[in-house]
Amino acid sequence: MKRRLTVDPADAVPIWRQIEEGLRRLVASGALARGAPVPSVRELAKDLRINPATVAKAYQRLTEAGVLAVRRGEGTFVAAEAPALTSGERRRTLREGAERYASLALTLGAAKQEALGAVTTAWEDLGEKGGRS
Amino acid sequence: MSSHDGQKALCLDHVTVRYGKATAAEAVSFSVPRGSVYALLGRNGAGKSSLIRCLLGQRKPQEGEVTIFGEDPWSNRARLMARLGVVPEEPDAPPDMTARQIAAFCSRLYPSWDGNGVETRLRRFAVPGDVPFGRLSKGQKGQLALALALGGLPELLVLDDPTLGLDVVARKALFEELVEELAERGTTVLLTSHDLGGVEAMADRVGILKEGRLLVDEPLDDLKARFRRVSFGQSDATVHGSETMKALDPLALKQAAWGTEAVVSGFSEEAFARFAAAPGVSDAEASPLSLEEIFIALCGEEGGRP
Amino acid sequence: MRGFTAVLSRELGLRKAIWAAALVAGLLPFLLAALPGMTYGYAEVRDASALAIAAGSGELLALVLGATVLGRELAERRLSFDLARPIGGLAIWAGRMGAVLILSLGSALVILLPATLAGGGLAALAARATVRSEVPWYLPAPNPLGLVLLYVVTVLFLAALAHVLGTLGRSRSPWLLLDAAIFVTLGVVVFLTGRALYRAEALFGLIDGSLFLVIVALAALLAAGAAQVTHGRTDARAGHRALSATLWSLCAVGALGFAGYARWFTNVSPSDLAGVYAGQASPDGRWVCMEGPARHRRDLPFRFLYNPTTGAFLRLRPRWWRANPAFSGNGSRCVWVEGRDRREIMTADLTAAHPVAERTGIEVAGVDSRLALSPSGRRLAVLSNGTLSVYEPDGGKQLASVHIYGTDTLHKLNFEKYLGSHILFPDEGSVAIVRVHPPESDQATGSVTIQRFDVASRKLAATGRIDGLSGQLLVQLNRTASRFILRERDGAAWTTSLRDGTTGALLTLLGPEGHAREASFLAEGGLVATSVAKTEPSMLWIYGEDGSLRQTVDLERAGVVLVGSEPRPGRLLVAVGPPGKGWFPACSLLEVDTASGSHRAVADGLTPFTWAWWYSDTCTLPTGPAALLALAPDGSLVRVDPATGQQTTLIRGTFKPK
Repeated sequence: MKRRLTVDPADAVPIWRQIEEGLRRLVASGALARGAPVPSVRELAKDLRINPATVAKAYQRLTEAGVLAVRRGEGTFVAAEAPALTSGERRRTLREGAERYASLALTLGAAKQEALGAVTTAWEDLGEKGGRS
Repeated sequence: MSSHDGQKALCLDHVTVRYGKATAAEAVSFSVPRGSVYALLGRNGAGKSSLIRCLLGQRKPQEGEVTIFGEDPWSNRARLMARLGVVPEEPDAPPDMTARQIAAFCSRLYPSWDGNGVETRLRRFAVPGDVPFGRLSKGQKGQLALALALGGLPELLVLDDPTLGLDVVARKALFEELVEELAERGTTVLLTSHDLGGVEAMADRVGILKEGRLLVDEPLDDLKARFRRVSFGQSDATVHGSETMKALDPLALKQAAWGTEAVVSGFSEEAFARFAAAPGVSDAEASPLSLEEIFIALCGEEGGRP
Repeated sequence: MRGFTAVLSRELGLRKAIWAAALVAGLLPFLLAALPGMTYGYAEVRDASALAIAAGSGELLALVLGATVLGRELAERRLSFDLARPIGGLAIWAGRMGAVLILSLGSALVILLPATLAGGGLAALAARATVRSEVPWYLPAPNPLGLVLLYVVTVLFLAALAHVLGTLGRSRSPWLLLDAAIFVTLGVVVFLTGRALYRAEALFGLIDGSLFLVIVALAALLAAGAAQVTHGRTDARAGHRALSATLWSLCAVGALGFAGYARWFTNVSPSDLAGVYAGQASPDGRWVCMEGPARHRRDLPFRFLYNPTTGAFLRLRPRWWRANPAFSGNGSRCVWVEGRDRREIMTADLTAAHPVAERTGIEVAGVDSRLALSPSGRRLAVLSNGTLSVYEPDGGKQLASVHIYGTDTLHKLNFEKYLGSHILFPDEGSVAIVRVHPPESDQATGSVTIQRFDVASRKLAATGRIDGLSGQLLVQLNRTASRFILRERDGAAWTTSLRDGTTGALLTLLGPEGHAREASFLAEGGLVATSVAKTEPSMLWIYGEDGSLRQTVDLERAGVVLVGSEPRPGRLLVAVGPPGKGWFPACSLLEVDTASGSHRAVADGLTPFTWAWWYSDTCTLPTGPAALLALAPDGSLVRVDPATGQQTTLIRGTFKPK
């Protein structure tokens, strides 16, 4: 787990977002199975040597989004089910992510074909690792 | 900046510190919310230590107001120090006292004292308990100071360059200790350091002092969001005076082997996109800056406006 | 409180080695006492050296510790350790000073311990150690508890002083000059004040004032150190400023307080007197010289020229020897000697409503100086160191001088024999010198010599002589030196005779078979003598100027008699003491009519104002307003109306009955 979740404090992306996205990726790829425990805020913060508040923020967002679940007295775990998003929310979230990506690709001056190709590759990579297609 | 605000652990309001004719800090204002980690950065001699002395009630500022938990540290020093843990830049103690004796002395002073915690930390840091303080290494002194500072179960931790003189291992141990403390008790932390990499991972807010003035006082995430390094190639010199360049408003421009680099402090995607699309500009790239790079950009010799 | 005890125990804990060293030092007295060749016994040497080493070490340790207990950390800027803890500035200071005090005093006690155990207790040790030391007679016996307290004060004082000096010494601020300047200024104030008290012979005032100064200085030093820590904190300059400001303001208060106290102490008026115990009247009785202790001035005697009618007064600065002022015959001028190391003759014009002391510029040497004024007061004669000099008191111009007796005679003068030279102006132009030469041994005889010095011609002539006298001799002249009373004492009996003032020829014996006890001259030239008997009814013997007995008066009561004054020509106020008890302090006052020999009681419980023999230079009875003055047992000065017996208190006294 720890090997696969790293943060780069120097990155422009805020650390809490790096953690959030990292965890999402791990869950999505299946590296973190549903219902598996995740390190406590304190453990993760200590390992990464970052402010626990940052970790706590990421965990809170993930909990609100339904990716993680807190069980009182036992700790934090990956949610048993996929986050319960309404179709509308799901659509909106997907669209936001897509817009971000598109904006990035345009900035770089990539052509639409190239950009779509990158998405497909990433999807397949993740799917392979996660055991889904 | 009201001192009645219970959410602020610490607040400086237009604080000016002078030593004779020299001004160490001028009209510095910032506040540290409870439970947050504030990193006060600056080059040597920028005024950090003077401000810390005002915070600890060891100096009275010439102008301005300092409040810690709503009280003036100069008038209420002894009472406030019960709620503070201090790790000074040069940890000192009576050189003939051993670590254990110093811990025993401190234990009598605080309303609550975590003796076991102190012992544990000393063991973990491998600081010998019965060697006179004067004979400890610099790193050991610092670690002892941190253990003592945490022993009083402080609400506010003030660390003045705690990593100075520490080797890599000790530095790692210090930050781990700090994280523990934060996770355990949500202590408010004000720290100054030259180890910007370590600070970057810990700080919620950052303040940057340059020659006594506070250039920057904002959340770290915001700071990093608005700073970018824009590198580009240019085919003619008109680029520099162009509208798009002005819109970008770079702090500094530098000629590198592969083109020009500009440090931009108020980055926006649109302005960058327009700049990248402008004639005479090729291969424009915007990359993030680490805290260290931001700091150098602001406080280095060629440093400019925030 | 928590911080104070924590700092205190820390500082004590850091210096544990001192106790061990003290114990070792406590063995030194044993070594010293065992050395050969000691003058005094083993136990004495051991105990005395133990006391000395203990006391000395305590003070030395206070100095050393005081300089370092805080100073080192301030200099090395390590005070931030304490300041970053919840310890008040005062606790930091007090904890350290407390440790210094405990270490200094404690180690002194530890040094004493072995000798105490060997010597059988602290009291025994102290007694043995001080057996050969002497306290000057004029100081009170030292109170042991007081001495210990004084020692503690000095230890604390030295510690605080060492700290302050250390701080000032380490300071590189130019303001140090101001510190030095203020110190010198205050030092001068204190020195001048002390000197003034010394010159006024106010020894107890000086002691009390000095004690006050030490306490204030100690408070100032301690407060200065506290201010340095609480206001200076880690800033050395600010600390120095706070220290200096506190130190000098408190010291200034102390110095000014001392000066004020000295001024108050010596600025006494008759209303401050706790009573009068002796006095002397001017010839016309308008002024008196009186003496008494002042309230709250620790029994220091003060002397005044006092006008009992108007209440005007002039304070006479006291002198070590109780030499008396001299009055001119017409009562217009008074002269006296002032000064302790340098003695100068002062003069006052008594015709003024409020006389002031003026300097004549005439210096006298020696303790035996005698003064006399001419009847008008325009000439002054001084007998000093065997030389008679005549001056004009106004301006101090010397008119003439003659050598009366040599310095070898001076050496033989003692207090008694000092009474043996008398000088008087019979008139403006000449000075009478009557000298008593006591017998040199029991077998030898004494004599009285009478000389006359003419001022204009500067000639000294011997005019008379009485030889063959034995025992103690006393001469008492009348105002014009025309007559004198000679008393010879043989065993317990006095023989009193009236003599011619120029030749010394015997005119008559006084009293029953010449055994009159006291004799005094009357205003119109005669004299009155009293009889000796203590148990039989006392008598007065009234003589005329030629020595013929005019009247005897039976006072119809037993007791010692003192003729007090002559309120009116022919009327005497006579005091008769209780039988067998002498006549002081409380007597019965009678008014005697010398013409008829009758008497009546006037008042009870009073003593004549001029009872003191050392004031009775010329033993002429006081007349005028002074004649009505008397002293009550509580020291009050009262005026008596002989007709009604009514008493008016002029000065209230508060003497306690013995």
